[in-house]
Amino acid sequence: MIKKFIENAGWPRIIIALFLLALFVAAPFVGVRVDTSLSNTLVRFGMNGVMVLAMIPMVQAGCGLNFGLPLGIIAGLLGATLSIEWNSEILAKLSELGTLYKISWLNDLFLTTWREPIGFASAIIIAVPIAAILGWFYGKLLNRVKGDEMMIATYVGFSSVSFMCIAWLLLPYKHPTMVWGYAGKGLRTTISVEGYWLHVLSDALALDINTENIHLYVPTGMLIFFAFVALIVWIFMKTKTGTAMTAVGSNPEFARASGVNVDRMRTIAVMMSTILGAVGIIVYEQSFGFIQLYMGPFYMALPAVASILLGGASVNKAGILNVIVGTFLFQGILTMTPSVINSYLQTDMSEVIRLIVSNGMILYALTRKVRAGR
Amino acid sequence: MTMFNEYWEIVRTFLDAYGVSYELAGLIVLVLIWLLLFLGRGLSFFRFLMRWYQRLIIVTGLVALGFWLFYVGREHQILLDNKNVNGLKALEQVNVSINGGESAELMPGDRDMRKAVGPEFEVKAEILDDNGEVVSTITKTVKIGCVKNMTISLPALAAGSEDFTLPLK
Amino acid sequence: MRKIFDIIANNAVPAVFIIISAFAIPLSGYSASYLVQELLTRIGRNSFLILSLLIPIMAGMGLNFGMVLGAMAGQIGLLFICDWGIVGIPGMVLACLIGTPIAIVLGIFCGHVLNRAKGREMVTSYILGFFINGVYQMTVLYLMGWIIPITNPTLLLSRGYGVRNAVSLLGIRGILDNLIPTIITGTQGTAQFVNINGGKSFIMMQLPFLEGSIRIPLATLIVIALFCIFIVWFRKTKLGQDMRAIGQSQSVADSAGIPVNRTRIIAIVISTVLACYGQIIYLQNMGTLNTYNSHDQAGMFSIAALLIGGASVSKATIANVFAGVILFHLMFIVAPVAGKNLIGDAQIGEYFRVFVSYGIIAIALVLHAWRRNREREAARRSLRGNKGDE
Repeated sequence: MIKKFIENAGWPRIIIALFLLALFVAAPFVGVRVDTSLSNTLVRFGMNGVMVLAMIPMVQAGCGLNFGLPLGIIAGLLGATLSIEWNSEILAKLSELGTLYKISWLNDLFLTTWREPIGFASAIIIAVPIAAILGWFYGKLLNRVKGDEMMIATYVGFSSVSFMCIAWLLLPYKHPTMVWGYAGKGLRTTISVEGYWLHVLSDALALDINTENIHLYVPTGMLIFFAFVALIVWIFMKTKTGTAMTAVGSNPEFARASGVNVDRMRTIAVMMSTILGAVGIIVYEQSFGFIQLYMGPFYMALPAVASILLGGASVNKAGILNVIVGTFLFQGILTMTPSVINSYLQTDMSEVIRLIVSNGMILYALTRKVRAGR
Repeated sequence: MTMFNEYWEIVRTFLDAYGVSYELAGLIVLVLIWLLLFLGRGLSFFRFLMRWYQRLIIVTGLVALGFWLFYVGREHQILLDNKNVNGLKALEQVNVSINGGESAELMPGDRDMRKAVGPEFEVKAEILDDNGEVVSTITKTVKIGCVKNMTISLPALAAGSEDFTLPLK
Repeated sequence: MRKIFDIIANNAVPAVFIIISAFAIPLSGYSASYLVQELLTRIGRNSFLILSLLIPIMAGMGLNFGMVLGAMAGQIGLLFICDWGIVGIPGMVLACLIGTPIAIVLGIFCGHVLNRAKGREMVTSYILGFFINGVYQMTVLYLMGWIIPITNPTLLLSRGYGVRNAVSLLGIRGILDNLIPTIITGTQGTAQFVNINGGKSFIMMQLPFLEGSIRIPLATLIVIALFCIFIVWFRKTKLGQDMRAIGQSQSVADSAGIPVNRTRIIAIVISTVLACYGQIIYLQNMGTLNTYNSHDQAGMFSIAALLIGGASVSKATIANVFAGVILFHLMFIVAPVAGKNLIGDAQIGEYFRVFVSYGIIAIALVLHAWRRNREREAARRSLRGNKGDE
């Protein structure tokens, strides 16, 4: 029984889970508060969850791990920056709408309480079509390079990020909070979302217990949003298209024989993955508070890939549960190691541990014998 | 380094308790490692021995090369010191160069630093009088080995003493 | 017609680069002698690293992103000689001597890992580079000065352990490049030996149609030439033939009695060790070691340069290496200035060359996968056709 469980879970996962458990147990002894650590873990879980979800469609459709996540992130960044650039115009248009239909209370709502949620929603609404278009091209590309998806995805991600570095400098953004003050053009490296949609999801329905003994903060809104997106993905994977996608991933020859258009399924999966990446980065930013441009999204795929693998996914099979478990474990380690190990050893080893854990996990998944199917 | 010392301490207590000499212990460990490597190989013991013999020679050669490079390529800091020492008065002015490099001009009480590479170097000191005329020139080859720093007392060098590295014996 | 198309398709990448450079060089406004000088320096600096990629490609293992492992081994060797204060050629050789066993161990590890991930060696070696980077950082940032003795306080961080981000390699800076000092000057004349300041003898050559003088890193170039001869010779040895056979088809090589896994490991070990030496040569030219990112850049730039030289994932020659170094670094030199003169922003040129390095790797990988899939498709179709006939 135990042996089978270990076999199923794999040694690295168990070691890492035990490590995390040990960190939580050790925390009080070195003067680290468990409740704040837990809150931090939950916040980071919500921040990164959607980006990890983005791995599912591509893995299920047999395109491997989506190292090209930065492409989706770029769509998200475009959505985020454009939503700030056009914020006042969007609000003006909406309030015009209110005036047109003579609903003055709606008009007021648009300009007060709903201002930030509308900004956030507009970011997503702008980002999704961009992500869909980029994802479509990206999917077409990956269809031509079957068998080498992961390496090419990595470099598609890198080259798109470095291409956008040029674009961020040249695109005609005008908004004063976003462009460099002295030049009047070219976006800044980090842009604050404060005043637009900072903590829109995190603080919605948030549970904030702050007494003398306990400091607990649960970003309920963000977690609900994650659950909602996860539910959409789950339902999608159960639909006819979703099952066809899984069939393509597990046995493309069989899928083709039973009349499934393999390339189409793969394209849809890649598009979905890119869209989820775009939404994921916006969720991340609203909690983090800043939009990181230029080389910011460069290595963002690796933590997401490592998370889902940590959760028990393999290179060609992944589910929602893998995402939840994996993100929690990974983010848990990221929050706990600095605080616990620092207070014990007086040094910050978190960066090194992150490098070793995340890449070790990916390496483990890549070197496992894959069942014959390709 | 402290960690190594602690481990070594533990091993040493054990060895001392059983009265085993350290050389013997080292030899036993080496033979054990060696036998461990032999086990499970489908070779005759003689061929196995020869292979390790060859490897041993190569590795020894490389390690020796390493030590030689260390010896030859080591850079030393040579401090030149022109102060009163052991009753010898500091020189009025002395120009010192090491291995024909840029010379240092030292007034009484001065101290300067030059670098030298290799196990020995040549120090050339031009001793000047009040008028800036060269009184005498001393050229000396100094063996330094692998020591990192050396201080040369110029008054002692000028006095012709063989014992011119500070602190004087 | 088909053949002409293939020739163009095979050489598209270098051709595009020649065109870009042809436009960018006049825009940059650099003089010919400056460009030649810079290019010579960069050929000396980078060729060895790039050449280390050739052997795994021969063995059909694709681009060895794991070469950063070798680079790290070289850097550890350099850190030790810095600590001990060993300078000059002995210092470089000692750094190689220390780096070699580390590179061999890492290479064997890398080879075993890659044997477990056949068919996706590239992405695995890429991630392996990151993983070992973590281990390297752990060693250098925490263990050095704590468990591994480092005595020189100028190397260590102020907290007493861990190596500083920038380490000066003054002791071995340019030591190989200037071993045989060589200068070419403008105006007509003949080759001659002359003594210039300090009694150091230079080989002076005078050439027409050149202005100013150019220093040639002759000794480095000789080392690189020797290495090229080694590769040419290696291809002809039994081991080299085995590797080529494996590169053609693993199953055929296996049935011919070639120990496939073992040979693959040897290929990676050779590559890693050579990358270690390459990194030492690279850093002796640079003169400073960025402890935490020198090796990252080494891998990326070497692979991009090789691909720009017209190599593919499955085929690379020595000529590709040199064409790649020249074209890639020509762009490297002129792009920022050309960008500045064209758009008025040097940053754009900077980003442009980063984009080009990544983009070129992406395109080369895509072209390779595409071609391979097309061939596989064609083979399958012909197989089906035969079956239909029966």
